[in-house]
Amino acid sequence: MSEPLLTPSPNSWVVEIDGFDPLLERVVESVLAVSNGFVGTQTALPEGSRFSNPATFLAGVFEGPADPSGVRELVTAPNWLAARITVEGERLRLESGEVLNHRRWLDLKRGLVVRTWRQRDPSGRVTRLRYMHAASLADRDLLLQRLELTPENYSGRVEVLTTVDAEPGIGGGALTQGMAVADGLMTVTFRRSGTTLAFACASSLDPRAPETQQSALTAENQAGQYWSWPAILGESYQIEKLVVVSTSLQVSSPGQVAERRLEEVRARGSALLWREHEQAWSDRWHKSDIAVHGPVADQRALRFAVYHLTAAVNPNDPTVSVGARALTGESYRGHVFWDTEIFLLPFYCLTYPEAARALLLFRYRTLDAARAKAQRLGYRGALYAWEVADTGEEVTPNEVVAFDGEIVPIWTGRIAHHISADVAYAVWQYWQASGDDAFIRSQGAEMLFETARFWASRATREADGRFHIRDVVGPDEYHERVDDDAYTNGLARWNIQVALSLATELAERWPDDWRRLQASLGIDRAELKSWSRAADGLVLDVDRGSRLVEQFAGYHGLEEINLQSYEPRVVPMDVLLGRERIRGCKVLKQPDVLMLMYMLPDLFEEPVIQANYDYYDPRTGHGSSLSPGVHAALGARLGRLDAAMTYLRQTAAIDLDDRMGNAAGGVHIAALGSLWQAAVMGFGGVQVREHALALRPRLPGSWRSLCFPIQWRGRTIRVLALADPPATELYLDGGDPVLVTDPAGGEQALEASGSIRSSTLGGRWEIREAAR
Amino acid sequence: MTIHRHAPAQRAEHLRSRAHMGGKSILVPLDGSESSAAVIPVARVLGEVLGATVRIFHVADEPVEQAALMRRLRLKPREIIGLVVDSAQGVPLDEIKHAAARHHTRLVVMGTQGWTAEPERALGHVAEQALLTITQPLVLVRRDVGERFAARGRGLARILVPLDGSPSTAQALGPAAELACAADASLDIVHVVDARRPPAPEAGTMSVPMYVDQPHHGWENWSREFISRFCGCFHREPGNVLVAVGDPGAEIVRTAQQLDSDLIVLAWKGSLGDTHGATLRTVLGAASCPVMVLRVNETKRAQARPRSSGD
Repeated sequence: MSEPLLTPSPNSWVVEIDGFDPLLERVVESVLAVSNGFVGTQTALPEGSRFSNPATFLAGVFEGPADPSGVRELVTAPNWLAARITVEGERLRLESGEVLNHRRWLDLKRGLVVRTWRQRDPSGRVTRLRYMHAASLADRDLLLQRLELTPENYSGRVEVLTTVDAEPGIGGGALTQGMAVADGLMTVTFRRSGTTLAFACASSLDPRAPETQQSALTAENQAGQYWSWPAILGESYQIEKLVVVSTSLQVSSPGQVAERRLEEVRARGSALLWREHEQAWSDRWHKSDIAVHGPVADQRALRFAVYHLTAAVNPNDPTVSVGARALTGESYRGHVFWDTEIFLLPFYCLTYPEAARALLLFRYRTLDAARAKAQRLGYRGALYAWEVADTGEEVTPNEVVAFDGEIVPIWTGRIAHHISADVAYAVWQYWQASGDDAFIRSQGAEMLFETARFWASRATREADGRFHIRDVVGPDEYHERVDDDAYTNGLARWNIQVALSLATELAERWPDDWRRLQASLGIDRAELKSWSRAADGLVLDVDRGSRLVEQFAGYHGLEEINLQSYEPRVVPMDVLLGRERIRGCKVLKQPDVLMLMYMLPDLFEEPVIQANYDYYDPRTGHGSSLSPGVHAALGARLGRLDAAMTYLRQTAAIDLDDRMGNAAGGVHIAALGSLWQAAVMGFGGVQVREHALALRPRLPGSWRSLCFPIQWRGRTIRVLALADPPATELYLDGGDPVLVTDPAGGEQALEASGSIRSSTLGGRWEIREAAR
Repeated sequence: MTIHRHAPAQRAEHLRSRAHMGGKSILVPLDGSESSAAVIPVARVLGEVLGATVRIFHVADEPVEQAALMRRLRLKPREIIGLVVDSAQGVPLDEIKHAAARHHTRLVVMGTQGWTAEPERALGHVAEQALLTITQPLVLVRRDVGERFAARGRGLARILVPLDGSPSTAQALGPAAELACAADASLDIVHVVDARRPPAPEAGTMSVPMYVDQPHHGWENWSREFISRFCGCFHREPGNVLVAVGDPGAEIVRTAQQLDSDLIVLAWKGSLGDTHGATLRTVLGAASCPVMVLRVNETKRAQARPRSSGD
């Protein structure tokens, strides 16, 4: 094993925090979070501090207040990083004595955090410490921590408590009905859900002097080990801590399972466990790394995005999804939104299809709740909840106290219906990218049919002979309760059309599946015709003269506001203008029309997309973290490379240059998804087409090359785009040939033995011999 | 990610302690005008809340006997139960400063104007000089505000702390929280944003989030972090954390009116000439409640900067 403590990865693989600023500590701990999709942990200070916010989250472990109508939220689980050190009776703390050196870095390549710290305690003793911790990607129930201590100018007795500390639950533990602590095992059971968590921990000391004292620690809220030994000046001592987590969501006896698993992993030895974790990350990076020859900050930001996207998901668990802050913070309560399908799924579909499948199966598992919501509102089919915890039930509140103290209504839970088409979009993208026919023939088809059925019932034919969808809110949430929102109508029409197309394909290729689905869902020919009529009649017009698509009915009549005249500004436009004015003007939170054109580019001719970009871009206030990434991706596709680069860096800054303090509640995982999309689907020009992968790379001036892998139908395609001379090269790692579409629309078969090269970034493909 | 140079670990501790009120008495300089006398009800309430003796203090050109002093200050012995009335001879500002230093003064409470009232100015000459030179927290009371405060008779039920998101202005939170705790008052924070000005350059400054993906989560999270960052050390957490956008002075006045605040606790960096000075003048001239001014220092810390090594 390479020694991560001593050999940090190269600069572009490292997010580093130097020093210690108590006011920024909560931000730092979120940004440096480690996770494996099952367990996520903020990088809190092991020795504890009032400025530190230890927080561990387990995917799918939600709890709510005793009142059944209260909203369930992701539980803050026990803190497994706790390690308190005492030297000659004096606790080592950042706040006590003098900090001689303090650095932490997130090693993206290895998926771990390293901390180095030199502290002069109030008595003048200087202690050098090195820490390392990770959530194992090889064994998702395993957490690893290493601590190395060296007395620099003294010899004396050192005591270390390596523990799992419990302050579980929301409301300071009031939600727990029981906690048991015994010999390195802590179990916590929650009152309302009945979920039990078990943390089993063990530690070892090396070297171990004869005078070393060791005992199991069993305090009221702590389980772990106590170590005490006479430390000698200049000698280094290493404590390895292993923690295994189990929950009653997976097994019936989590305590027993955690203890048994702990014995298993201990038998393998910590060196091997670290090595396997590192290898698991190496494997993931092989399938997902984006290499940019350009500014290190761009490269680091993209790897930071891929790191957190990879860490957020567990391909082995189809019962959970990814919340708005993944497992890196308590903000958004672990709730899941459309972000997952539109901003995360493209990454998973094209780099981690097993994870994409698991996420879509979560939506399948909640399909009944979506059916119930549609029925409750008087519609047919499936209307997914705007915001869900673990069950698929709607958890969006109807009102909220706003920033200015006023109580304002929240409409998204009631009328942000585009979520159903967003899920359908993700299903379709996954199928195209993965070729997972088994999925589409069962769960995928059911979701597509039920969402299409919803739209057919949601759209109403009116006196003008056309179908309208009224009273919705699109992604642009500055304008609520609008009619014929372009994004909603566009996605709804597309949803119905792909469902009809799938019905035809099923009938032809898998007639048994089609008959089964027809029978179970009650779909008949008459209903399919009604879907077709609704799709054909839905309002989504391109103005012939201006080539514009109106964002929603009446948008063009709103007040024109010159956003430029407000620059530079330090507040979002809705705060600046107030609720009434923002509703009555053209300023957008995020661009519905451009999102539609980015997601479904084949529906529009390029001059139409260009015209709409020119129109809506200067009217977009980017009040959502999801917005600049979309502009970056679409701008890059359209050749607006400088603007696209500005938007890409704006997106990267949301978490990495946090000046708003909101990264303290966790990273903006959807914005990180949009960052990946800006690079791969924007500058890389990747589009998922029916039965083929399309590419049209266009590099910004500051990048000399862009290289990334795509997982396409069980094969790996490596894309290399070069700026000077402009060229694109594709390589297939193995397997059957795949069809790729060049920018001019021509298809070529890419074979494993060769490569495809385009002599210009936008030109036709030429087949070449492999030159690896 | 930004790299932060070493910051003293005790920095947040400073937030808690730097501007705290110590001392046993509240000094109330009066010049005998009706304007200045209007501060007494405010001083009485603060004295009760803080358990401090209220010392009424007059500076004259020549020695004044107690009975004459009472007449000059329009005070009746039965009205001043619990108060101390003192005088000194000399230059008013010098004597006020000396008295403030001598008597373990916790606060100075005085009128914005005295005999030489200048209606076009927010502060009279003596009050302005006191503001610039006295180191203790200074509560300034306009005559109409003092009368209203007395007429309402509810004491301190709501305390408003306006902040600009910088650690230095957040130093006002310590004394405000202490006062709120003692008075059992609710503590409101208003984060005032001048949309045209960049946030304060101090490291640790928190600005309004530019991205609010879901309002029902976004603002709650921002408030939570604001409280954790700036109020984590205090016994009393704020009841409201609001955001106001516009001219800072006008927004503070408007928010105090909207919340029906009984006291504004305002951090001030010691200058009457810059933006902060203009804000202070606006608040003193138009606020509907007394204003406690706390002189704070900009934290002397390295500014957070974007990572540059190797970029």
